[in-house]
Amino acid sequence: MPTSPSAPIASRRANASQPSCWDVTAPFFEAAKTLGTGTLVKDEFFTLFEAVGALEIMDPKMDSGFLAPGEDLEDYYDVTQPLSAQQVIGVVDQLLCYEMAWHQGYPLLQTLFTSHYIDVLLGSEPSDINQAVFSSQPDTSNDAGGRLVHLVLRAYCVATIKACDFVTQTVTSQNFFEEEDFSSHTYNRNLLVQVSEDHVVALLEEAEGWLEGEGGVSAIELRDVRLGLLSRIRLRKQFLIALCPGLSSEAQVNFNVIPEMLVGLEETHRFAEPVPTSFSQKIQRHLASTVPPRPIINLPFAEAVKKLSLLSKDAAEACRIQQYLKESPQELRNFLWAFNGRKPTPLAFPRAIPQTILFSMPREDWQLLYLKDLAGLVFPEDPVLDPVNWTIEASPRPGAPKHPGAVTAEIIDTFISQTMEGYYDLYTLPCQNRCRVRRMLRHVILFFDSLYNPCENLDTELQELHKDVVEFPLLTWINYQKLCLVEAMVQLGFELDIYLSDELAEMYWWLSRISAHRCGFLENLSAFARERQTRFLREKSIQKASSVEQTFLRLREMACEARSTELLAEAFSIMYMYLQYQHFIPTPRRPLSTAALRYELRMKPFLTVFPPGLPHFDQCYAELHPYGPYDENDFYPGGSDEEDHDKLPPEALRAEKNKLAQEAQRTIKEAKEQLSAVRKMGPGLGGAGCVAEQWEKNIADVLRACVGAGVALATVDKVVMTKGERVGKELSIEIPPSGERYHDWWIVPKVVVKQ
Amino acid sequence: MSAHEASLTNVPELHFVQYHISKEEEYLPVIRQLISKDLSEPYSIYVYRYFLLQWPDLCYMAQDADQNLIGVVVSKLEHHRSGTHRGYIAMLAVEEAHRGKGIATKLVRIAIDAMAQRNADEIVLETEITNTASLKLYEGLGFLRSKRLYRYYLNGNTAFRLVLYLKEGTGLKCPVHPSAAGGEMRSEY
Repeated sequence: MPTSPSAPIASRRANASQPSCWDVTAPFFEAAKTLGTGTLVKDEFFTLFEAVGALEIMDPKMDSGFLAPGEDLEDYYDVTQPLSAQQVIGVVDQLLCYEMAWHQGYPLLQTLFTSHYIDVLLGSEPSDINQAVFSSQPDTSNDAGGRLVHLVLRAYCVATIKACDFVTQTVTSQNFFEEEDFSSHTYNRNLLVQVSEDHVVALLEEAEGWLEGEGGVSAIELRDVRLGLLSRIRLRKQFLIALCPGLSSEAQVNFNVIPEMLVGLEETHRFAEPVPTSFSQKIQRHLASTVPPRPIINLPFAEAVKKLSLLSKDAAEACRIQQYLKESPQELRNFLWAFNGRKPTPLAFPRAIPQTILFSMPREDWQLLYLKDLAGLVFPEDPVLDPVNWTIEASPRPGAPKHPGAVTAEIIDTFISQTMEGYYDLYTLPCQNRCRVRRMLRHVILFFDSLYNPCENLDTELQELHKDVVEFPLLTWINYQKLCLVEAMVQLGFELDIYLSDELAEMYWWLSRISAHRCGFLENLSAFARERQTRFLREKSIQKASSVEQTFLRLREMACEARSTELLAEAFSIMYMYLQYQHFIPTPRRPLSTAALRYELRMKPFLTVFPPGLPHFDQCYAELHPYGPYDENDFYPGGSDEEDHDKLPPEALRAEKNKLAQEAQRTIKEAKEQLSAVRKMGPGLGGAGCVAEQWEKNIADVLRACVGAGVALATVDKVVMTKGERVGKELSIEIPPSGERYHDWWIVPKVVVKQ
Repeated sequence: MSAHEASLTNVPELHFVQYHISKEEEYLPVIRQLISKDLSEPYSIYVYRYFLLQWPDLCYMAQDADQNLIGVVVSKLEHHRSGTHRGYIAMLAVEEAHRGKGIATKLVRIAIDAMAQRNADEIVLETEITNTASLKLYEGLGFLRSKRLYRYYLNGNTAFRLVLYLKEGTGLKCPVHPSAAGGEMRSEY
């Protein structure tokens, strides 16, 4: 360490342009003497997050540079040594496992960057393909081991890195969550950004040619081993071409063929001879010295192949959105929600694809999409959206009154610019991971809620110009979207196992209210469309009448769907009330909380949002407890007034509680009728033609949940009726976790008969 | 008498002690040792000091008759960016041999009581979705799951955020100033 300069600090600062070093050891120890052991010296901006990121030097679990006695800083591995074809398969398959672990969200540091081959290729910071080599000495030998390493393995590694570059570019250009969805950190390594894709493909083809030709045939004894290598190189090429950012029109086809190509890998994986020394956890040391040593993530080969197959299928599906860009906005959003709902949820890369395609649309196209959206709900064949309005030029005379059409266009433009942020969110939302979708929904709901007043004002202006419009059309549109989002947020709560079993009655009750509200909106809007259609028919405007009829039919389908959700949610709410009254779902004691506080916490995202408008806790409690508390732990501190049910004799009260089972059954039946009506109308009407298969499956699953709930209720009811109070000895109820249900949003209790 | 109170009587020798800065050299190494057992990646000493120096009165230890550390809870209380006065349970651990006796529940209740006395609006924490014992403990006390945090931990595991409201009106509190603390163990949107 250089000696301490004698110049005072002030003069050193003045000389800041010349870098200098000085020893602070003595002053540091002097100052530290004034502090007690363990005193934390921090400014007010030092956060817990930073404390968590701190390291302790010389602690082997935290200090990545810590060496055990006799340990070397790095593992030595000679990347130029010849390998057998089987060993190359071993390395390549291990690389694929790491690549897929990286796609899952693990950092390169714990996956691909543990490879000595990758480390050497990137260590020289190659700016063109000829520099991306394992050795600066060109490999002139033509022996098999050399070709297998310097041509075949090198081509595979280079293409893998380039693929990572493409994936990183695509994912990071869109909305994603670092570490949670994807780890974009490259540890200051350049992932061959400057190397052209064509050169990489050419290198792969050279390797392919060698393996197919005489060289390969004479070098590799076993034909299947050679074919195994060939299939790996071909897959690498195919994957690279498919991943190319910008997504060519053939991207869908390119991804689609990958799953079948993987068969060739699986069949020849048995030849793989691992080369464990070609990977090392110690490479982390020179890439990231400020994080603790982290374990290598080992994904089994079969798992990696499955992941790549899924990723390719998801990516191919995602590319399909291109076909629907000119369709209705409803169609696009249905596509996105269906895509997001695939199981398992698509990884970050496939989720970036629809975003890439959508957000490369010019703003004008977005505006057209938005106008179509408005027309489809609140302005069917309406003069408000007449394109002529946007062509009227202002009068050159100062002070002249503006043309009503031009004012209308201005109002709509203002509306669009004020709300566009939220409109984009309707499309970004279903491209996030499921947990984030639910959390982001809350923010988007609040944004839409904040538009209430501005939209109301714009509507007032609009209604002065247009007498025959939907009442408060813009506000209606905003409120309708809000209701859809609130509904989705509650439903995702079921899917993500957010609600405890004794919250289910309440959450289905709340869902039912939201859907009822939404249904009301749709019924009003479809009535308006019907009226307008009749008027057009009267005026002999056949074309307009038929266009409005389409809107009417679609709105009616949507109303029917909303009504089915309302009814089924009501039925499930009654079913869980019944099960609580029968003590199948006991209320936990919860000594630190009250029902009112939990209601406030659970409903926090909706406390201030209108519509739907959250009922007061008292109302919720009363509706969910028609016959008083469920059990001794369920009590309402405020409810001391005598209720009607208190006047009933115990036997009659029990009979009333038992009747809830039939009430739930009746409501399920009504819901099923609505669902069957929706099913009959088909996916096309509501804009789900693009995802017809998923649409059909979804309805079928909901119907299965209806049947399942009916059976569960009947089973419990029968035992309750015959065994009375002793029912608990005969049966128990289990709440199946997400993934083990007929439908993630409709939780059917599992009835277990006790032995 | 609740289950945890009943079972606590089975460990009569147990006593609960509040942490004190002056005893760091005595307490901290054993606290670290106990907590590190459950962690894939250890916390540095700064994390412990971050809590223990600022909120020593929100850290409680369970000791046996020989003053051996059996369990510990580490928490903090501050104004959160959401506008609430938020208590946060950062760490909770009980010696494996002594689990299932209600010691963790008792520790958590003591910490929450202390935070409630200091005017906390809510208590918050995260736990792995597969940690059924922890979920059972907190949910039994009245916590609800407010969020599911995908791949929240470094090992890729997903968490639930659990919340307990202590005061009415907490849900209506609004963000005060953007510089207020975020405060979770990991950064969050």
